[in-house]
Amino acid sequence: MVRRLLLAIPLALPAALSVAAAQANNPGGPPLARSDYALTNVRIVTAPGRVVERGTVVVRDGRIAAVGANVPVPAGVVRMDLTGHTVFPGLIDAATSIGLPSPTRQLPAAAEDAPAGGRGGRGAAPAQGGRGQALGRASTPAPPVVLPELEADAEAADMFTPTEAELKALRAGGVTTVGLVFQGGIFPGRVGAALTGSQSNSRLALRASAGQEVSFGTRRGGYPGTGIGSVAFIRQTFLDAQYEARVDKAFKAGTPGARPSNDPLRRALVPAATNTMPAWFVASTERQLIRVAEIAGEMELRNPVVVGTQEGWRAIPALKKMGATAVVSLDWPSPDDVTGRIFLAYGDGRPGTAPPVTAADTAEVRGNAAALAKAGVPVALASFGGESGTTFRDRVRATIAAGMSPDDALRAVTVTPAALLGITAAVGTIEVGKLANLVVVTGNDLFASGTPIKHVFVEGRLY
Amino acid sequence: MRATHRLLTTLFAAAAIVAITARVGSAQAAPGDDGPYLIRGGTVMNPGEAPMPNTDILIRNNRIAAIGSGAQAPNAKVIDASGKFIYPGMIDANTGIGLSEIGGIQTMGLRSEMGQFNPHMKALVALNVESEILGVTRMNGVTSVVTSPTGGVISGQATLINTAGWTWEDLAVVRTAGMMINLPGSGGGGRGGGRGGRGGGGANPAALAALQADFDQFMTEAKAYDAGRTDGTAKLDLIYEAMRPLFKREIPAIIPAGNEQAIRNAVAFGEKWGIRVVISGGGEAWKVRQFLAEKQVPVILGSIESAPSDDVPYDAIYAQPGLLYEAGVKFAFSTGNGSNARHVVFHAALATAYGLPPEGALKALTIWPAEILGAEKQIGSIAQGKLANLFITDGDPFDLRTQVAEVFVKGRQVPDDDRHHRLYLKYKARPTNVIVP
Amino acid sequence: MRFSNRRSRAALAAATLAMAAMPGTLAAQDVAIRNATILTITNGDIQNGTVVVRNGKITAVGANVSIPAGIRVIDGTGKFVMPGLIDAHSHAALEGGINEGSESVTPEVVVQVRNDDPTIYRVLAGGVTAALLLHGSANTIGGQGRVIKMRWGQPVDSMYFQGAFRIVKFALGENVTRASSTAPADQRRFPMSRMGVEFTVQYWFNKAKEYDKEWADYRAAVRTNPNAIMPRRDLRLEALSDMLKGELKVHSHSYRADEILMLIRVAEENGFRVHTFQHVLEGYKVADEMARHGAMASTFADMWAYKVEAYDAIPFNMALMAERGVVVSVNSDSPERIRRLYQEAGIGVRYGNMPVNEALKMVTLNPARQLGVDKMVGSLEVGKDGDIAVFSMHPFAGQSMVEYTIVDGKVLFDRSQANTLRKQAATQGPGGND
Repeated sequence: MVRRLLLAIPLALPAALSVAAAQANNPGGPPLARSDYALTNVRIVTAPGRVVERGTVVVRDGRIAAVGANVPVPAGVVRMDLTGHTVFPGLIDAATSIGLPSPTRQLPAAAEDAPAGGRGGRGAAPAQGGRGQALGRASTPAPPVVLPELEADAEAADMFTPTEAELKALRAGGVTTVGLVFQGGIFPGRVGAALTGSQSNSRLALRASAGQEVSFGTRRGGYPGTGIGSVAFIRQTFLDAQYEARVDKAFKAGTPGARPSNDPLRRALVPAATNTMPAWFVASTERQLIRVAEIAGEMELRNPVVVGTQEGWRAIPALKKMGATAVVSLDWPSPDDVTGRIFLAYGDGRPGTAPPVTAADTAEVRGNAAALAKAGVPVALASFGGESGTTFRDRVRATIAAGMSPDDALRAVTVTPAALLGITAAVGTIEVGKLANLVVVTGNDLFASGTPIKHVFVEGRLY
Repeated sequence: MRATHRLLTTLFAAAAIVAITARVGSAQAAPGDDGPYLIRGGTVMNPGEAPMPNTDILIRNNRIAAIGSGAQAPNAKVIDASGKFIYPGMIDANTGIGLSEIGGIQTMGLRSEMGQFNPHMKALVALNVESEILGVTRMNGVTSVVTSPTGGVISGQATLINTAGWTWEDLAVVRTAGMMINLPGSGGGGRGGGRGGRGGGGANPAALAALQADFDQFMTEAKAYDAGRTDGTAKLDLIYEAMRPLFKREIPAIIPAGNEQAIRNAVAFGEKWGIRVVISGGGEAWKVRQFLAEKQVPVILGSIESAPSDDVPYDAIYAQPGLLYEAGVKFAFSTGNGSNARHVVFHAALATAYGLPPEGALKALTIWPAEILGAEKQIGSIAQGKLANLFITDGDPFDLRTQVAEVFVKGRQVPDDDRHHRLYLKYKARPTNVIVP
Repeated sequence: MRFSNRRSRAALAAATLAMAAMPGTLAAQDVAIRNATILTITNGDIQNGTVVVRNGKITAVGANVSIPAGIRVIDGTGKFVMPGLIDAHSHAALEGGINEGSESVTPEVVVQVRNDDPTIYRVLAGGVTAALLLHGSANTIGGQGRVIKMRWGQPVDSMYFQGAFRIVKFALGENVTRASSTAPADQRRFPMSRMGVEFTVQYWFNKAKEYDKEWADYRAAVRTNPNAIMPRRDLRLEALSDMLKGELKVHSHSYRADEILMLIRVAEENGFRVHTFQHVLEGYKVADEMARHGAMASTFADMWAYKVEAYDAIPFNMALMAERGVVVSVNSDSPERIRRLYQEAGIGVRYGNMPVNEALKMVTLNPARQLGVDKMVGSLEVGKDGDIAVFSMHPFAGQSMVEYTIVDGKVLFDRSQANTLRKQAATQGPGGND
């Protein structure tokens, strides 16, 4: 549909600047066409709760050049009459692992010759591959090289290499920006943000070092080898980073005797341990969330992020106590799997009679985000753990059906994740100067069932 | 916990040397004096009978020579049992005693021979009479146990022995009490109330089918051999010869079967080949209790000291014996392991708490296992002519507060110098506060 | 462990029943049991007695006690009432592993409680109301445990027994000298002998003292030098330091007399106390040394011959240690034995002829002392927590079973409401050919 539209508009000639930009980002490729647009007679939701009932959005050079009820349409732009449509800020999936390597994912056999430590592993993750190799017997092939669990300064934004099909699926769901969070490991790296445009058009990475990811994984063949060890290891590592910061400060001040360890892991964690970079804890269940609250309290972490939250409503006191923002996973657990439900089945040894999942049980699980928002916990919605793309909007819709107000839901996929990822300057609202990340739907309601997405713009490019 | 279990079973080989060293020089005491004995004035508690108060028992030549009142035996050692109770010795219907001493050590834990079809393996001939477990077992009134081989499809011949004696011949009550058979894919006996188990339950289907085919062939050939021997045409074959008592119905096949289907399969197996079947384990026997009663198939229950799986009622293991009893299924208790065989009475006690009448529990500890294993003429009750296997208490043996006063095995009063009593008495007598660091 | 959607689901009625069984809906924390035999543990047995619990605490125990109007009353005629049982050694209801066995010294690790483990219900069905959930025995100085009450279905932190000791697990002997479970077999981990275990303990407590000195030096220096750099906090050494201060109690897995005595002497040389020996199967050989050191004992009733170091275990251990003044508890270390811990205590009477009340103490007051909760639980006394087990007969009688288990005045197990095998069998026919 989008492709057809492009072909139908022979006026869509590239502005010289755009070509230059495209070539800069894709120096080996051919120049690509690019156009500017004016979306006219369109209902504009510039931000949650802020609506221009009929107006114009002008998109130039990938950015929003003008927006409002009485905005003149400049010459040289493609005028799109969108009567009966509404334009929203492009959606932000606050956390996905699409296009990222994973510390728990084994690389294909071709990567077996890669040096120990995988993606440029260094001292902080000693001999991971080596330990793995030692397990293999001579008669069997060496086990696949796996990525390190500890590489705190790995940038998700630098490693984001989705397929074109994955990007297309994201856009088809109205998702124009994604938060990038690794799956697995312990300190697998840093959270980033990226656009979902085509890689041949522009650099997708939008922001690196948006947060320091912490995940309760284990080490292969070493300490920590268990979940309980992982908690202790994470606590100790935060303390070590705080110590590193103290010593480094004294060192730089010339205090005699001060000598930072320069351990790469400690050094990389200094910003998170000293509250200059938010810590993002991967935590889903009631008990994991309570665990994070204990660690955050002990380490005096301010406003941590919990990412992948599935049972937030069961841990509201813990979330409020630590001042967390919850990145709620739209990958709902089965109501049967929710903490405490197992008692209903087996608590008094009632064989084979797990109580049926009722509509209320389902509503409780899907109402996770609604309950948190109602309790005053900042919420961003994410596909984390599940698939993003085309189902994203359906899941947000179900979240609204389960009790979240449409404005809260829109906030949770626009301004809240933008703030969380530190990309408010670029995305999250329709404001002059921000990137032209837009979603156009027929009718008024972005999340209504059966509402087709008419157009998606990423950085001003029409898809 | 599973992890603990793994720890216990993966001891490294070096430990074996330590163990063997530890055993040297700790030989057991003699099984006891041959008597005669006169036990005077006790109340005899036989299974299924009214208590016989104020009764004398004369023991001579390993056996009960007389029961009654006013017995006179000038040469006999007299034991005053007035105010006390005399029970027939209890039987643990499945252990590894004598074959396995310390489970974690391979050389001391061998209950299995290599290969799948081992009807010719006899537990009896490998029994270690000096096993410390024998003495420890009898101190609580357990006077007989079944010792069984494990592993493979046909593990070998289980034996029913006494817990005191000079040689394995002296120990034997029934030399071959049953043939241990793990039907391929049966999943084993499982823990009571559960469905788990061993015996190829998790094997891949192709391997299982191949094993089943091998087993069918083995049974077919063994059956043909039996006919051939009967009419004198077959040459002696030591392996198939070991199968003949099964076909002659002289001994039962003891078949681990946990879930309902496995139990039905075991019964069908017996009907197909014309052999008697005893179910071992029987975690879900309660689901087929009327079926088992109608078929007159008895059950050797797996350990009552087991945790049920999550999907059965919390009391499933404790309550099953009561249901079997009411349905008319004959059963016996077993601990399955050996070192804690003397706990079999506590297994039965738990069952009585959850619905098994105490008289049923007493039967299932004495006369029923004797009947199931073909020893009812020798043991299982206090009766003239039977082996004098009995114990004397000051009360209900199911009550933990009850003290066991005397134990007789095969007509011998066994001394309290099993390994545990020896260590107890030694350290009880240790002078206090002699060590100053 | 978790069940799938495919599992059969019964009628709505079952769900309703289940909801009713959730403790959250049992609002009342008031309950009384009347006309029962009360085994107080500390003040003798009371015939035809009554126990009253209000707001979760025992407010009256005695023969002539009036029951306030409006509270739930359990008729205890013919029944026996005792304090909720306490298991001083369990690994039930844990998650995230129980053995951080990758290294030999890991006291910074803390076990994680799983508040919806169905085992908790089965524990309650055995009359147990509190337990020490311990780290495993894979390493010499393992992780820290948790004392919990069996408040099942409640948020995990509300299961923690407030006021209980912080407890760390040591382990000696065979388990810790094996290669770790997570390391390849060819990469042995020090120590691999009992000699190495002794050195490991000595070595790490020496490090802990150096660590304490480093901090003391800093605190002194910072008074005059504001630029003094605060030292690195080391959670491992802090835990060891807490042991030296007595704030983190040492519970040590042990079997043989030699290793028990070894740890006593190492502790005395280093200035800490072994609070409780766990398993302590040969404790009877060094009971005087244990008593003099002030160590308590938490043992199996009767488990032996399952490995070499258990070959001298005897069921008289409990009686012999108690006779020489050691505070003894009997523990489960198993999701099976914890269901019948009362029976395990009774074994102390069968072998060794312990006084019945002393045997009952081994699953009530004595483990309460070992866990640091004896001011709150372990006996039926006014002011203590309303943690109670109601038995159909004396707990050591063969036919005895638990009918009610009460935690903080809430009835969390009620045999009459529970699904039992008999109830299930009644719905499934006689079990014949079908």
